[in-house]
Amino acid sequence: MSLLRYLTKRIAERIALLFGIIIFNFIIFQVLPTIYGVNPAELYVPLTYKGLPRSELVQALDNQFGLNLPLDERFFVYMKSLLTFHLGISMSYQQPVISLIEARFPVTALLVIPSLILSTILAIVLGLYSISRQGKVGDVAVSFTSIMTYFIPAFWLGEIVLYFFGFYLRIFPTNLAEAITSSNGHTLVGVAYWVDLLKFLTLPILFITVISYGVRNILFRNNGVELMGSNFVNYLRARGIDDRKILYKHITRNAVIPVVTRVGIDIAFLFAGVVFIEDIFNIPGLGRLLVRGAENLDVPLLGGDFYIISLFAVIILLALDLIYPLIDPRVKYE
Amino acid sequence: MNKVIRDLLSRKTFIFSIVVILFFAAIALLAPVLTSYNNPYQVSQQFVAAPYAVPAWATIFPQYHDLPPDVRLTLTPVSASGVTPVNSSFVKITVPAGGEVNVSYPIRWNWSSPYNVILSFILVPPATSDFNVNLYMNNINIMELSPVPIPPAVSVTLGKPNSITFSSQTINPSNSPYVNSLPFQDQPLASLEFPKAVLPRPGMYYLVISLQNTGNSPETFLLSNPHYTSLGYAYGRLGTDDNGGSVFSEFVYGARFDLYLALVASVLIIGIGLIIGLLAGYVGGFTDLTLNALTDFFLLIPGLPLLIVLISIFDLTGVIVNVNKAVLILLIISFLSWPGTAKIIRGQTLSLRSRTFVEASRALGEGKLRILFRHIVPNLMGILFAQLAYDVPGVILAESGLDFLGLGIIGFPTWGNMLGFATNDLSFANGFAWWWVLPPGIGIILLSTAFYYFGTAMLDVLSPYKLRGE
Amino acid sequence: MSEVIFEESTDTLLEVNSLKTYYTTKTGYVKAVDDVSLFLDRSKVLGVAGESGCGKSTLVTTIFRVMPRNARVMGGEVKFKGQDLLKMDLKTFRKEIVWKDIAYIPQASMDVLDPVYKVKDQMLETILAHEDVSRAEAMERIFRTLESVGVPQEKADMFPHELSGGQRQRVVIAMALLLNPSMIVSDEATTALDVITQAKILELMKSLQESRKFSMMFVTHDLSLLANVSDSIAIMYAGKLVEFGDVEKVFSNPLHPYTQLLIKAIPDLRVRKQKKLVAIPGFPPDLENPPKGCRFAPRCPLAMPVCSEKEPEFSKVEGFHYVACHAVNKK
Ligand SMILES: Nc1ncnc2c1ncn2[C@@H]1O[C@H](COP(=O)(O)OP(=O)(O)OP(=O)(O)O)[C@@H](O)[C@H]1O
Ligand code: SF4
Ligand SMILES: [Mg+2]
Repeated sequence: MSLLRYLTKRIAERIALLFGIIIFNFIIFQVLPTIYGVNPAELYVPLTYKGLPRSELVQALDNQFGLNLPLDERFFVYMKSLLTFHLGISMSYQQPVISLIEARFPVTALLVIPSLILSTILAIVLGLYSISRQGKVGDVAVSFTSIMTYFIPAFWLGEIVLYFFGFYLRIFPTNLAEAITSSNGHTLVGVAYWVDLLKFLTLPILFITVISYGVRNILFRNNGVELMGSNFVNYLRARGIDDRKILYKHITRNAVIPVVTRVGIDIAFLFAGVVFIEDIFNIPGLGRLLVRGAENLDVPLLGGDFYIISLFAVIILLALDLIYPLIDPRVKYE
Repeated sequence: MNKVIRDLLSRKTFIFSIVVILFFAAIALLAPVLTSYNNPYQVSQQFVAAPYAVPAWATIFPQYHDLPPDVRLTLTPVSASGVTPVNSSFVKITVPAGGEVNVSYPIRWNWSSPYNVILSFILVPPATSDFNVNLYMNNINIMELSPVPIPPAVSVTLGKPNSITFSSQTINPSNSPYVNSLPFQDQPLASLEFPKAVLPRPGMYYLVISLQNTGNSPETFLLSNPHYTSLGYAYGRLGTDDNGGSVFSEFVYGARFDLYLALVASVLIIGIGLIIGLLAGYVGGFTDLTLNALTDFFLLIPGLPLLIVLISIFDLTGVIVNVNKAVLILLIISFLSWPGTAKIIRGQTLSLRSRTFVEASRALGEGKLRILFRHIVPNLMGILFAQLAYDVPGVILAESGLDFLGLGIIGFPTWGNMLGFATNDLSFANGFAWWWVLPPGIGIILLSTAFYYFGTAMLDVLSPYKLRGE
Repeated sequence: MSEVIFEESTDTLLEVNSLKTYYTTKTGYVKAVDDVSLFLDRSKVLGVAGESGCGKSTLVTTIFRVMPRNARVMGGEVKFKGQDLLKMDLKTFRKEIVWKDIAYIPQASMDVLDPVYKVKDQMLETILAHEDVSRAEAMERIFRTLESVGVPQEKADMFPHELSGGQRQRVVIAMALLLNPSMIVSDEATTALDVITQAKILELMKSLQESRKFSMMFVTHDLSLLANVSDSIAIMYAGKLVEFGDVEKVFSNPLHPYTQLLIKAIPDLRVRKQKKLVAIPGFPPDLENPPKGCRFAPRCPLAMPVCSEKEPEFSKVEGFHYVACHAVNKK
């Protein structure tokens, strides 16, 4: 019963969050320009399009989307368009924003999911090493490195890594177009395409792994060390349970709980997190799309991309809420 | 108190953090003393040495060991007949009719070629027009001065002091016989090739000023001792960037800006977080519910994309024109970063509120505000301090990220700008300018790690209800 | 010198001999157990009492070899059935002695069991760590044992946090009984419970001990609990054993001034008009720099000059009753 209550509460909370995000988008993209005396419609049209002057385009948009309606009425129009994924046409790409996003989604996913798995494994393996060697040189070195990697500016190390492995040592392809084109100039298809794409993504994937394992490692390690001195671990040892079993079964299972939460949040902010990496490695994903939008002041693109990123975060957070009781049995009763 | 300090000093990580923070604070404060270039992004402060000059101390490495520094010399002639010193900086040369006198200036050159060569001197030619002056360096005719300027000769005024400047960077076929002598396709590169031609390697070189008298009576020339200057490939503490700007100055002023911004932003973040956290935790009820929801909301929207979106929108709507960009960035970063602090303060306030001593004060009839400021706020100090330290790296990283993407500060050096320009410039052609690429990144990592450890130490030592850690 | 006490033992099961366990800290050693000797006979109950922080838990964790990381055994031995447990190979000790022969009942605080595994799984794991039995057989035993401590079977399927404090304490007692050990050590097993539950648990433990005939070392800071439970009593003060003897003798004739004060401090529940509660003035000493001579001297009403000079010897008074105090020894 209480589990059901927990779940309803969480779902309601997440829906409220989504609603909040829509309001927030509305404020940024509609209210703010209005306050500063800019017709939001102007932000959504290029200077000219198919020979039509801007003023006509604005008028057309006004008629179609009600951009000249009073703010309160406009809000419902806007909300409806977000909920139905009518995100407008990108000015710089001259394509519907939603199709741009659809095309880039798999690329970002292919970049992020492997690195997520790798870095979590790395965090836990190093964490187990640290816990079993608590306070010794190995532990100190591992922890210090983790904290440092956490503070490495991704864009900086990324460029250096790219330079060394891509340009200098030439181990990895650095140009996506080249990577997915066969020697006779045709774009690869099928398996070959994905294999080469993955080869191109190897360097960024490894890079993300290295810069993102730190937080999880520290979380896991600190939690594990704390658990090592806890009552139940002491009691387990007093019962003659093997030390390795305590570490690999009990400590790991308990210390992984905050890591799972963290990974969940990381997935939720996945696309946000890879903005720099996509920019540096020239990967045509969602993060780069956002930067391109910002560079070209392409409002429909910015708004749409930001909305999808937020929406994705909400969905993942909800999924995390739903599986959380399975990971930590105590949660139902909180 | 004494015990707190002893506890702090017994932590290696705390010592590390203090040393690092003090170091950066010192260079930030002393920036005007440490360097005379306060903004190497200004054209007037560029080319203090050759672009991509290595740090001076790097010449201890074999691959850099013969790179020249910036050189500034006043040349003095070897004595010869017909050359008589007037005073310490002028010589008088009498050239017989139809004759020629060469004044030689030795240059002891200990390095490989410099970036450029500039020579300047004052020449007072005779009042008649029957003469010709040629400059030679390493036996190459680099300049010709003549009363009848047929290119590549350059004109001089008769009988008056002429300020003559030769600069390898402005040579072209019409002002230098050297360029004229090159094959046509090499002429555009003359400026680059020139230093290699006249100062190819370490050794003894001569600048020769050859004075010719084409008339039929003796003539007198006055010549000041020439100044030689050249920009070198080894410069200062951290070398130069692609424009020959001092990387050290950029680093120092970048540290100044970053630290300043980070501290102000952190104080703002703490301020907002403290107010919201205290209100939520202490007032409770509906206020708590609302504020907590608001905090969660800001905690959950993706920060970096929002930052990018906000900056762009402000740019578009023209807000940025009216407000200083640094201030705007400061406000936006603070506005997006307070939720973490607020959450922690709220949690602590909640737990403090139910402590015995607070309950006791309440039972004794102390006012709410009094309890808040007498009992709760003082006990939050440790956490506030720690949180302040934890927020600094976040601000620095966020600001650098914006700068890196070109959405942030423009026009003066910040660590983020340095990172952006340096890494953009990484390419096969330019090689790896480590003295430029590495310092800002290492600075950010060191400073962030230091603040992190500082915060951790503060939290450990100052939190009032710390359990005995065994 | 303190070997004399072992003469009183008739059927020794456990013999702690001059045990020293110190904690290393940044500034020196915390002498938490300093030269403690005591014994426990088969099927008997030994009560160990003393103020909080006097080293009781340290004694227990040393016996089970689960001391905190910074603890060191500086000397002495723990003989169980004639074997020195401290010198045994740790693996063998854990597999063969622990739980099969000696079991431990901790205080069942919120986090005494792993929060993410069900009660039955944790019990099962304990059995399987020591015995080669089938799962079904083990489960059968788990249910039986739970029943014997008054926990309904279905609780086995719950997570630790879903149990009440009393239930959790019973589960922990059942855990100790799983392998039928010959000795059980309980450390503050009833401390966190309310008075009524405390009485019930105490009764349960006593009856279990009587029916199953295991020896028990019952550690508590509440001396009053020991009167009805134990056969002999050991009083600890600041890492030292100060009085050790037959329960009757110690309660009827406490000799060490500290024991006397402790007994006086017990509120007498039979007297309606509560006697004024006598607290012992002063604080226990810093175990890193304990006072010279008798460690109780700074708080002792009978202290003499010699007390802060010479450490009192542990000596026999009459029968099974030993005490370390100059005032007593002089008589
Ligand atoms: N890991 C440790 N490091 C340093 N000192 C410790 C450590 N653990 C315990 N101590 C100290 O050793 C002494 C004995 O502790 P112990 O836990 O054995 O006491 P106790 O008699 O069980 O007390 P309680 O009745 O409160 O459980 C105490 O003074 C304590 O402060
Ligand atoms: S030895 Fe002295 S100080 Fe210690 S208990 Fe006996 S009388 Fe008191
Ligand atoms: Mg204890």
